[in-house]
Amino acid sequence: MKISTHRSGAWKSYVNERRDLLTKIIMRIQLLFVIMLITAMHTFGNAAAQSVSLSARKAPLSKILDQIEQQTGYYFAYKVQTVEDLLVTVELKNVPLQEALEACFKNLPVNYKISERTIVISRKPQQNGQAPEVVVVPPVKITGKVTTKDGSPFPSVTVRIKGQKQVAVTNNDGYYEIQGEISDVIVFSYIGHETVELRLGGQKEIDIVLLEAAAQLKETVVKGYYSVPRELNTGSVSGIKAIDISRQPVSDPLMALQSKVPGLYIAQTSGVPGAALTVRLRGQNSIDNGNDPLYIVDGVPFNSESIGLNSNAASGNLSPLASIRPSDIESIEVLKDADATAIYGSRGANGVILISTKKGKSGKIKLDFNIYQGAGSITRRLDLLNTPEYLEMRNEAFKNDNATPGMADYDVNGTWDQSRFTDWQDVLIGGTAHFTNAHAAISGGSAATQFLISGDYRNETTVYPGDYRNRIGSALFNLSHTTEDKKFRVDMSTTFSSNNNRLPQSDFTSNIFLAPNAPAIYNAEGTLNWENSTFNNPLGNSRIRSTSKTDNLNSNLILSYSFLRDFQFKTSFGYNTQLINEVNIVPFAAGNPARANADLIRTNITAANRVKAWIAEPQLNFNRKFGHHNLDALFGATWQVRNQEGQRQTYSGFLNDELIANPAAAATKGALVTNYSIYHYSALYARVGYNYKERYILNLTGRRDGSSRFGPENTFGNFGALGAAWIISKEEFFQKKLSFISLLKLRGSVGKTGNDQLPNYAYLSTYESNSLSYNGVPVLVPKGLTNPFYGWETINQIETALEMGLLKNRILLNTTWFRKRSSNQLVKYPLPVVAGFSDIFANLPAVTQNSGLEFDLSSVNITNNEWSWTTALNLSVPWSKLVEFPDIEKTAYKNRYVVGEPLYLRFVYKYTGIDPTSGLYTFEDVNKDGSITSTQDKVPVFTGQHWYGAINNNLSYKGVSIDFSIQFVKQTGFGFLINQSPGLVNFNQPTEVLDRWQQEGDISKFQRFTRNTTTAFTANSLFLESDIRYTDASFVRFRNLSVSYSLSPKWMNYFRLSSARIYCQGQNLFTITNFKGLDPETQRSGFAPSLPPLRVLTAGIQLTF
Amino acid sequence: MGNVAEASPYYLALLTGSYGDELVNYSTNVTLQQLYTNSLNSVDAQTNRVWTSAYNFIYQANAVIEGVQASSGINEGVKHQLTGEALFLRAYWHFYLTNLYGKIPIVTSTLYKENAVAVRDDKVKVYEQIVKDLLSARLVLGDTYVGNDNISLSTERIRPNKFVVDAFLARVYLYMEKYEEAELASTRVINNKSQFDIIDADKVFLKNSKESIWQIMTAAPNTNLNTTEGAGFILTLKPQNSAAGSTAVSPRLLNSFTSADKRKTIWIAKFTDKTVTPM
Repeated sequence: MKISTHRSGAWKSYVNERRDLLTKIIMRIQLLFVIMLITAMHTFGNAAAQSVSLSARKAPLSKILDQIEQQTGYYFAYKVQTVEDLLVTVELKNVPLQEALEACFKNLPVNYKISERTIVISRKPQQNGQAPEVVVVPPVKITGKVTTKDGSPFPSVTVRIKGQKQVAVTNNDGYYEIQGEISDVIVFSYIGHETVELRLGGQKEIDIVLLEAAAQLKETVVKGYYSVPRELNTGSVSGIKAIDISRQPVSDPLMALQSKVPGLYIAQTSGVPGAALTVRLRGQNSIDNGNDPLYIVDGVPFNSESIGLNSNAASGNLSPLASIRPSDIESIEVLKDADATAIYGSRGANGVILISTKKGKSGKIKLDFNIYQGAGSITRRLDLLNTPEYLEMRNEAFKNDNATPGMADYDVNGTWDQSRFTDWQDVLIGGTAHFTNAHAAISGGSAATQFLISGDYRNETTVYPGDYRNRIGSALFNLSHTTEDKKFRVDMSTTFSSNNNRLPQSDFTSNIFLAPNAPAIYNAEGTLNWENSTFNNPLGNSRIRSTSKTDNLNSNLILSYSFLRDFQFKTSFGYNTQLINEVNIVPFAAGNPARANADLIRTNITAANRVKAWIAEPQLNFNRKFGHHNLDALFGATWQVRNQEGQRQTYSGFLNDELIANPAAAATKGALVTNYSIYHYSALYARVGYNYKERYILNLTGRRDGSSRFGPENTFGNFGALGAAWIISKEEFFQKKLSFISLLKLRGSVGKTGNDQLPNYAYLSTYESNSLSYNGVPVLVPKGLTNPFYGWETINQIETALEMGLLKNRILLNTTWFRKRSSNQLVKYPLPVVAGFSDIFANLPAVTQNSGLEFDLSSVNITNNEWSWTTALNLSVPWSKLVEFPDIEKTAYKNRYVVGEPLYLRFVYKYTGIDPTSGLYTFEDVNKDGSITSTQDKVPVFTGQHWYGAINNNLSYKGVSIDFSIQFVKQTGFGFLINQSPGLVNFNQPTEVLDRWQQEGDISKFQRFTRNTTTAFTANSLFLESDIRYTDASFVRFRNLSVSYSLSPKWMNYFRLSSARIYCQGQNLFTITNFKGLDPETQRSGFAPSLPPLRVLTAGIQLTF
Repeated sequence: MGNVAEASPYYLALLTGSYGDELVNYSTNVTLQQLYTNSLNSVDAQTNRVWTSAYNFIYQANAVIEGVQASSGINEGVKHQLTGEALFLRAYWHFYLTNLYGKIPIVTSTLYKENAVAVRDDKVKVYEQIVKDLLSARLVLGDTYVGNDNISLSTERIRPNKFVVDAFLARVYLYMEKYEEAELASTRVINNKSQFDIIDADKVFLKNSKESIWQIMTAAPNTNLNTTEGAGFILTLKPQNSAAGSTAVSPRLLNSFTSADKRKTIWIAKFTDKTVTPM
């Protein structure tokens, strides 16, 4: 048998033939790439040579056929025997191919047939009626190279011949080799990338570029213990990838999730480096207990609660998740509905966030360096009174009350210079923070073993005056090995990070309300000025240091073994330690040197806390196809132990400031406060997934949990969910009539999850030491009332969603509706204090509900080989409701909730304006009893989000890529009013207070200024507790911008780089809002003011070798 | 929960003294000022704290009574001493609660389900309960002050005994206008000359003085104070803004003493500073 092909291609005609197809299919860009590359690779032959010239006498037919092939670009397929003895005599000059073939085969016992560019030759049927000879086109070796968009080799791409069994994989250099047939279609595929199908059309060498998938339907969704193709997913899962994270110069991986996932609301609580974030997935499900999602890092449950024991500028609330470096993360998946979370049972009610670190890939060793630097500052300031306005306020307060400034009224009694002006916001929070982040990674491996080692360093300073910084260094190590028979696999990953966060003990933001005419900060000689003990210098705080050193080790080992074709046994072991060491140093120099007892003021507060957890999870997987039936099942168990051990001690009585760091030099040791807890958890879990023709899908999950946080009566609980999906677009009737809809999928789930985020031992009757004594002996006192019978907080969830893809999934729209109901909230049930304590832990007989709509739209607007533009839009509309609460009137909850109303209520007085005669605030006497009382006259107002979402865009042109993300939130929140009666003491106020009542008949926003603590003061207290304090806190925030430029392949080759990128990034660039306070996201201006999130601008470079 | 300072006898004296104009207030603390100027409101923190702390202490007393009762490891003598002390304290706090607030719920167990729905009882009923508790305490307490082992004698007059109960019982009877019973109870103390006696007026408030019947050691040993009262009421500087050292005896109370009254000449000192004025 012999086959020959022609090397020179008639590519123009190929393109013409395919043009109609090209315009239709979404992969046209890839094809263009392919065509261009192939075109470039081949030398053009005589492309127009459709005419044939032959001259032969009794020449073997095979030789003649060779000549025709060379002249035309057509090729012949035949059995060697067919033409063996045939001789041809022919004399032709520039005749068409058809004519030439007729001439050649005229007297021969063969037929020919032109199919595409192949001419198949077969023997003519014989006389005795035998079937005509069937010519099977023989295999041919096809080779080529697959590259990524940036031109680097693409290893591990699956190459197969459509409809055939043979499969090849590209090697480390991107080359492949496969046996195929001339008329075959060759298919290139790789997870997360568009699959490319090409007709061989006579080619034996094909180079292609494989692009990332525009629509991510084929990618795998990780659902914790198992994963499924996104298309076949029955649950609600969304997330972000390394590329999304790399576009944001954030220090905490959770910040990278901000505004990316529908249903997930993440708010910064402070702009202080390392401060924790508030994360709420689909609302607040628990009234009184933890509402944090369950975080799992590489299979290990990760403690996300702050473990610090000391106070610091971040309110003592540092985020442990900041120790996972964003640049080490491959993906973050957010599991939302019961289908996705019920397998996490009692810990799944608030959603599950899975963080996977990067893994090595087979291929040549890759070195990656990434460094960026930047600066940050606050974006918004409060508009506060200047000195003349401020003094006017103070003096008017005294005048209104017929009083004269007292001894301590230094600002107005002549002690302080009344012509001074200091912008305290400028002094205290107006600085510039600097950021440096460096990352290096080395990875690679063979088909059997892959590894990745990376290191990361970040240094971040603050906007405060003083030497503060948060420094974190981390390392990631990852190793995978698969045996040659692919049966046994080991995966190991370890991250270690060490964080040194040096902050002031308190947030300087709380001092921005100092009188604007307060004295100078420094004396002429450069020391802190205390103005003869009349001025509490805020910069004293800068001498107080609060240092937190956190070490985090997270390690995971997975062993898996496949047997009996369909089974796999897998065991995951995890270990996590978080260790925090804190020291707060209060030197005497931090305060007024005129104070007495210097050695008692000098304090050292040393604290250490450690959380140590291990987990073991054996698991058996089964997977089998029976015709059109696909069955997946798993069964597993979990053992987890977490113990926590901490202590805190205060030392004082130091002879001088230098000795404070050494506790041994302390004369007085405070009581050692220790705490210890151990948490045991075990579970059995299972999952059965079934689909028929990948069209009808069922997913059943369940878990039986036991937790030491519950009494013997209620240690165990059962949880489970059923998810189902129907891919309507795979039905024949649908494909015939509505082919422009490329995907239509209806899915839904129902299930029950639980929440065990409550204190350890709360069901036991416990006593504690309160550091007091009786007759000189330390005592123990009861810690609270005891209820050993409380049980799980369970959440029943239901969800339905419609997923739609248009234009070959260039446009994807997901619409989701969910409802979460809880009928046994575990709360600190308020009791009259007559019972000894003000509350008791109990399951509340009420039904609470969170529901919502989530929309998620992604669209590939433009995509060609130069331009690409994608847009993603998400929108979440949450609702909450107290559905039922028997006898609420008899409980203390009547002042917190109303049946039928949202759960996020504040009970406030109803402000009714200023009495023009008295100049005082007035309030509605709701119960008409003639007096305003807190229990009778408060009405509920809603606070929280009405809806929120974001638009994310990615634009790229050649090597330039621009990404930006705009977040929008419609919400009602805590306004800017300051917790201090204007004029009462030396405390500044927003300029708004100038619109105040001054004389009878005035209509104003603020009441008369007062320096007394009587009626006007009381009216102001009620005002601060009235509906006026809750304002529209909606905002549109330009959250993120990233501009990057990748060097052209030519330059990269020159420098032997496989990629090079320079970039500029901005975070929190600007905000559009009517909100008057410091920041609509933190909403902390007048009450416990905190540093607003910073605007951060960075520039960096990334090189890969 | 309220700490001891907030519901200690000192704090009670400070609050009621301010409210009753026995003291002059110099504090800028808003709630103390409200108390001083008789402008209390129902959400006032100071008035809440006394109530809250007192009921917490009553809970602790009840927990001791029930716990000791149920214990099989404590011997009878110790059981008697502990139960007696707890009953005494339960009576003590009910007494102050009813005098401050009038009708109050009587709480004699730790069962929160019952206590949470307890209603205010008439003052008469409250007093009956106080007397009942004190009489029960009398029955189980011994004659002497005991030490930390609950048995051995102690020179410290800290742990209540039968006579402490009698002295308090006498006071309770006086409030109930049961003068005969009051006399009987106080006579029992007065007659115990070996333990109690009248001593020099300047030594009355010293530690373990014979004239004192019940003394409380400062509960927070690290504050370097001998007594909270001393730290709070004895002025060493001009009156301060903070709660401690923010008051002075009012002229009205001062003038109610005759000039020869030793309580005035010895127990009250003078501090002159013209720069401060009461708020």
